[in-house]
Amino acid sequence: MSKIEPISSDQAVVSSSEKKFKLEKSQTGIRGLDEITFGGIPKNRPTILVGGTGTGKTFMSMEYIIKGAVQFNEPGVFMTFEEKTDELLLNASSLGYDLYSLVKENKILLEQLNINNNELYEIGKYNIEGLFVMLDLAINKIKAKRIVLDSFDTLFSNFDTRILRSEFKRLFFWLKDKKVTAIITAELGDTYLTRLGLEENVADCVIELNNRIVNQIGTRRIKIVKYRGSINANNEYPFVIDEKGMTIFPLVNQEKDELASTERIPSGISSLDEMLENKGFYLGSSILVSGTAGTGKTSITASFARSVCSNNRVCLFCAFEEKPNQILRNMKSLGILLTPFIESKHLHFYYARPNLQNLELHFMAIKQSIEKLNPSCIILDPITNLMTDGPNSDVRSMLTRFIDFLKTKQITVMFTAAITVGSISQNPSDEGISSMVDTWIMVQDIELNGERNKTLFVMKSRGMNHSKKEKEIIMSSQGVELLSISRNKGGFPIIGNKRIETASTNHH
Amino acid sequence: MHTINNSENDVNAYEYILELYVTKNSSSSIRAIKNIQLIKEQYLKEKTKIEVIDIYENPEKLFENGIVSIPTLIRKKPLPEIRIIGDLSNEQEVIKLLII
Repeated sequence: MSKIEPISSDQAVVSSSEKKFKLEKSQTGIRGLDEITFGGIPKNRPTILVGGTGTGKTFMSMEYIIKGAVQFNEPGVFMTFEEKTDELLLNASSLGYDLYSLVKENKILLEQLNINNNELYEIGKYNIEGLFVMLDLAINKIKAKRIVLDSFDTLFSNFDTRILRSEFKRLFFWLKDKKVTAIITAELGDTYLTRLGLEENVADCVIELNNRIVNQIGTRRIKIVKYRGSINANNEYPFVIDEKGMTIFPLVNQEKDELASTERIPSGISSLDEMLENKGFYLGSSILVSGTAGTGKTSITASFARSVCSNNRVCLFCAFEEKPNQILRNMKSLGILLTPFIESKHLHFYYARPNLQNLELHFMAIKQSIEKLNPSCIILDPITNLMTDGPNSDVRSMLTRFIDFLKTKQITVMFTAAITVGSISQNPSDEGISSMVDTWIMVQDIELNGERNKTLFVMKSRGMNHSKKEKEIIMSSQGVELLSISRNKGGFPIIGNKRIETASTNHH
Repeated sequence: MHTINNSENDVNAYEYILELYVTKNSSSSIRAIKNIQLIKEQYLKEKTKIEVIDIYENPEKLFENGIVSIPTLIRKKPLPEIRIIGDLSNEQEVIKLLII
């Protein structure tokens, strides 16, 4: 197995520029966020978190405080200027934490201020010393390392921007002096923020959340708008909020190029292995089995699952079409017995109906299973069912990310899809899916002499000299077998009953 | 100058109850104290009670009232409660807002 290099070239560039700025980072503990920020938000500096209503600003900042207290032993102050104690308690308990006990243990300080700016007038000069005094008291009370101000808008609505600009700068410097890492939330497109030029001039880090609805599927996204001295990425990453908190799906995993295993794993079909240098697939590679309905895609995946399990490895079979019991029964009729591997805990099933949750939730649930089971192989049968859920471009990028994630974990993935050569011209995004796989096996059925027979190609298989021949698929109670195809004088393949007839005449 | 005392007697005895939140060493606070005293003497007189509250001495009051800006003048009585932030340098504007 090749050695995993922890730092890629991308990261090396980042760390050299970081040295220049001496930027320390505060780990958020939010799944995926530390990855896309290369280690967290700027330590001892304020980060502005912008987003529209209901995009998850409060949830994310609350999770930052909770994770700080629970995972990093950093007490945190959550100061809110709206009546939302109930919401915060709910957020915390949905994450499985009891906010009351964290408050009791002085790990978290909740401060709810009722700011009433409705009858607020400005006459002459002022400063925001009152806020400093309150922040100072709150921070000192629990020796806080983290603080959230939620939100900028309620705090400073109706304020004149002239004085606020310099006062807000003073607040930023004061927070830096105080050595606390702060998140200040603000409404997206807030006129104050823009007019104050805070995003451009004062904040070191600006993060944006949004929640778009595409094809009736709400997709939450996070974007690092600005990160001084660190990342210059403006990519949007999808995220979900569930009982595990916020989970962000990084677009690219840096370690991708570093992981190229030379170890092989048999496909479970000896005649298919023969086509793959007699060795089978590369461990940690991605394999697409595509073809029209009823061509035996699931049988190929089941054969592979059996091979993985008999090699004493763990396999996660994600079924999106047939129920696990159906698969077990159907495969048994082909002599592929999987039940013993379920009993020995080598084989695990994840079954979900694709319309139950959206795609991100699927991948997240699968990721959670992966973390629990640590499988060396995962099967997605079929991914085409996932695709009916969203527009293709989104599915493709999500699938790419998911495959990248599996690669970083060196997990071999085999997935099936109803992609044929003909379908690519109709649906160019299919080509994108095939381009991100290492091995592409295509199965198809041919109608000839009044019968349908199945054949198989290895369309491509990176890093090996694979067979380019078309083979006939034979499915019997002995499992799946591939046979070489000979052709008659007219160039037609001799398959199915014709092959059997030819074979018997040759014998005589 | 009055000490902090929120007794019911006060609420009945005064027509105007004002709270002014300050920091003693800031120039805008000093100006605000001077300005509100002048307004009291000229326009409000005996029926007015003004509490000057130093935020460093009574920080809990900040939390109670959600005071961010200094100086802040709160008109507690008569209702509705209004807040004026700043050094109150424009006397006419203050009177217009404050006096019913």
